[in-house]
Amino acid sequence: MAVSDRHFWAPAPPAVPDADIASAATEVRVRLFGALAPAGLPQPVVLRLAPPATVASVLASLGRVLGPERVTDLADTHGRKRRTCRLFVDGRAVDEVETALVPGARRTDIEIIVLAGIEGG
Amino acid sequence: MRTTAYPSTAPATDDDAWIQSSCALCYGSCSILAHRVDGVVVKIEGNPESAVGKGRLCGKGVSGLMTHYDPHRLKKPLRRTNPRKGLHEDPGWKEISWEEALDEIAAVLRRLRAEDPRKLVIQRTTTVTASGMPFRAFAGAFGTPNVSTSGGGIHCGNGAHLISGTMHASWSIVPDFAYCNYAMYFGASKGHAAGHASCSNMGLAAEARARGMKMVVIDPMANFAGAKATEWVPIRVGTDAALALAMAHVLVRELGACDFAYLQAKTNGPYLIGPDRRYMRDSASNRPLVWDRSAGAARPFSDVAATDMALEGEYEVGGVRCEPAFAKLKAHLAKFTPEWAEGVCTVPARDIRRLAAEFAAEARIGSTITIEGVTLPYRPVAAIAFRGNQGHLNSNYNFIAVDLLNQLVGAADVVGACLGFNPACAGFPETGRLRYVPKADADGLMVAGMWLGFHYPYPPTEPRAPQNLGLQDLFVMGLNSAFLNSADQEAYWRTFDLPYRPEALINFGCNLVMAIGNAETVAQSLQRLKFMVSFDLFLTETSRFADIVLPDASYLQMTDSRSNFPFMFSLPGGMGEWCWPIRQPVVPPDGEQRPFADVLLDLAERIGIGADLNAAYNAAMNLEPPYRLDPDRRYRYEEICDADLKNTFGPTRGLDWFRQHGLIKWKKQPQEVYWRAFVDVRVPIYWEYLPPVWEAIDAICAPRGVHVPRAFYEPLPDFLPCASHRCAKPDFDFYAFYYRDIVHTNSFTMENPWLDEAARLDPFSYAIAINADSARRRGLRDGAAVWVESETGRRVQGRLRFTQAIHPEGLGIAACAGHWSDDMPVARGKGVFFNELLELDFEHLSPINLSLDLCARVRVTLVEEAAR
Repeated sequence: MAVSDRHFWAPAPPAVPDADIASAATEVRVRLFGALAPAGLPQPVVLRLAPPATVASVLASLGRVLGPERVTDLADTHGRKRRTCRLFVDGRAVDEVETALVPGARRTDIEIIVLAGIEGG
Repeated sequence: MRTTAYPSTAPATDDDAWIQSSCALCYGSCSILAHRVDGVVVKIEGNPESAVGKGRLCGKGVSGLMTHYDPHRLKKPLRRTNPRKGLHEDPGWKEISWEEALDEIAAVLRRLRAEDPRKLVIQRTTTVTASGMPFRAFAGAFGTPNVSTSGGGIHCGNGAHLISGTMHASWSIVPDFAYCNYAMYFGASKGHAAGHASCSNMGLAAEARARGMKMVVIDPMANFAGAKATEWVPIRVGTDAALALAMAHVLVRELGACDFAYLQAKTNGPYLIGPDRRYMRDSASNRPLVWDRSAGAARPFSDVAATDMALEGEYEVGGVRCEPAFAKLKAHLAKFTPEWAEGVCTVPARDIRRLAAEFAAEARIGSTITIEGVTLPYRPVAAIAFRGNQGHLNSNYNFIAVDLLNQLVGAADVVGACLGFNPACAGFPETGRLRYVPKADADGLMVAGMWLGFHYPYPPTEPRAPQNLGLQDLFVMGLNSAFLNSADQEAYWRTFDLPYRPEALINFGCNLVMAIGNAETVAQSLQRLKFMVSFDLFLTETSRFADIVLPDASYLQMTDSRSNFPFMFSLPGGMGEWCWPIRQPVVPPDGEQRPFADVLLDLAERIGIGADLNAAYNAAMNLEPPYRLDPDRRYRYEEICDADLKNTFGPTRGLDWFRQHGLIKWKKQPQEVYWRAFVDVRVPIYWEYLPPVWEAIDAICAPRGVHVPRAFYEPLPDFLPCASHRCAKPDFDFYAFYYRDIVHTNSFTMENPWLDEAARLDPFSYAIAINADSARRRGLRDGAAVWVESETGRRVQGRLRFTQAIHPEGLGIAACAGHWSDDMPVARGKGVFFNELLELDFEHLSPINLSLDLCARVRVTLVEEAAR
């Protein structure tokens, strides 16, 4: 197709992790809200993840804490995060489960809530 | 960026001020200027500074002050004293304090949340677009997935939104008015005072027509768009797919008029399809294969230059015979001849060929144009569709077939073509925030960059045994669902072992018993609830079912940082400006009226979900540090709006700045508006993923004895008849259909006296439009009182209005009229309640996207004859 400026939407290059800290374990403190936070669940849920820690490993660990019924609200049977599951790593929204947590960070804070999927208008 | 300062909100007495805000008489939410004199709103106009409306305001918008000053506005919370609920039961309202009301509501909600939060249902009207965010946040905080937008929900665009999202990464589609030369409207009225970006599009469409854009309107009735069209093509109700597929047949098989370069680069047309109807995939990467004509071999699509991809031919890959998807489509289209289509849709075959030829010629395939120094593909044709096209059992294919015309000639999100509403935004220049753009998934297919909810159109969610009352987690191509109120809801919930039942409803401004289907069925669903609370401006037929009614503030009395959903809903497509207006109070609440968003915050505290609600706002508004709400702090809604605005526009542009300036705007760039040429994504002309969706649904349904027809989930579109097309009863010779009256929004504006007067002056608003020749042949008289009876025996009464501007088999009924409640004295007894003719059950829902079939085969009988 005849167009110019093909690089207008090019994404920024990903940051390269520091090799010295990439092998350290990550402490993850997960705060759950809404349907994910039944009365009596101790908050936050503290996870200690071996490298390379990703959002997928957070969801997998949470599944063991929350039980199989609740985890279906977080991810489908293939481990893909549901769109309705809104997950924030240190305040930043993350959609891709392959997203790596900051390697070697002393502590990562994650907030998760499930929102209704349906809208109209 | 340019802004204009208007006088800020001043004390509500001894003043004379024009306040910049946003309309809420329909979901278009156009920008307004409200003139306040001595504390009284005396006039409302469009705001010429805003791109949302472009200074225009429709009849509904200018009449808004009559709704605001309705003498029946609620001023105190009410509690019913009559425990019996019914369509004609007097609730025996008793005024109570806010404390009593909220304590009682909170007690119920605390119990439900402890038992199972999914027992709460939230319904809200579409009319107030800004209500989406607070109710989405509240539902998430409470923990219920059961939300619906019902005030137009079922009459809204289940098919239109999902297909627009899949093909154009947007909620809806529109011609690129500034450059389009030939627009085909299939059951749509974009640019004719209704729908998304309504007032902006009104101006753009008028300018396009004046410039010479040919507008062909395909519709059973020539009303708002048809009356201004170059050509009106009357079509049998619900048969759009037949016409569009026949046009595609002519383009592909008779004229060979396709943009092959576009099909190679921007669709899955080159993907090889095996005998199992699935993609042939590369064993190493799992990517779909294409046939590389240069290499003479099958290779992953991502490794082949688009110009080398074969669109036709038959190939053998690893011993398996396969064909490109385009070749499959071409073969599939063979049966949809214009002669076949004429028998289905009644449009003469010669006209179908002429329209297809005009569309192909005007597409100027291969041409380019330079806009602001950027060279772009130029395809000045568009085929658009909306509610009328897709409010049928065949919803999905009706819409897919129309959009296929755009795809075949490469008229998708390029200059002059069919555009999504702003699918790509590079963000506010000073912060880079709110940047979104479609992206490709592993198969190369487009995933929308922004969506109105979290139920994205593509990729489809994995079907599961339903946990939602609406069954949308099973029927994953569906949005709003009739199962929240259907006659057969309990049977399906039992069939699927749904582990809970709805017990409470929070209703925001919906008149459910009028807005969805026949009143009896909806009323029964409301009677089954144990508790209902309703936020209302005034009492309606539906608030009669409430246990507690809360007096809402009007749109002239409240604040909202997102009066429009950014930017794929109210902002017009095409070149121009990005624009973010707010809503701000013009006058204070009267009596004990309170804005709903603050009431929800108050309720959350009482229930003990304040932290959850803050987290839900963070998630729904995508707030980032340092503007994220502290879960453990209590906020007013204005503070949340302030955080939302600063989050996008920086620390100096919070709510105070917006109160002063009303809106912010900046220039769009060609790379944003015509993003398709710059973003490496493809869209399906072969819907390979639909059969697996059906297989997954069927695996859940079949063991439970629920039959889901596979025909609705095929990879290539077809014409499938509505229930009305299959009716063989004698004398049932008309297709009754509903259409949006441009002077009314859903059922709520019927109570506005100015709009009522306008509707009474319109010969059709409160009448039943019928083809004069057809009527005379049946001995009917213009103005005669008639019964309109559905094949299931439901009937409504009205007066006929003869016209030549309706299909000979059509019976057009406007709006959600026919109110019967004493609480709406202006609306009571006027017009015809079309929805009463509609069945509300699975048999009348699209089995793929849950769209309710909005046509009914009917018999028309003179009232005097029926009396005899």
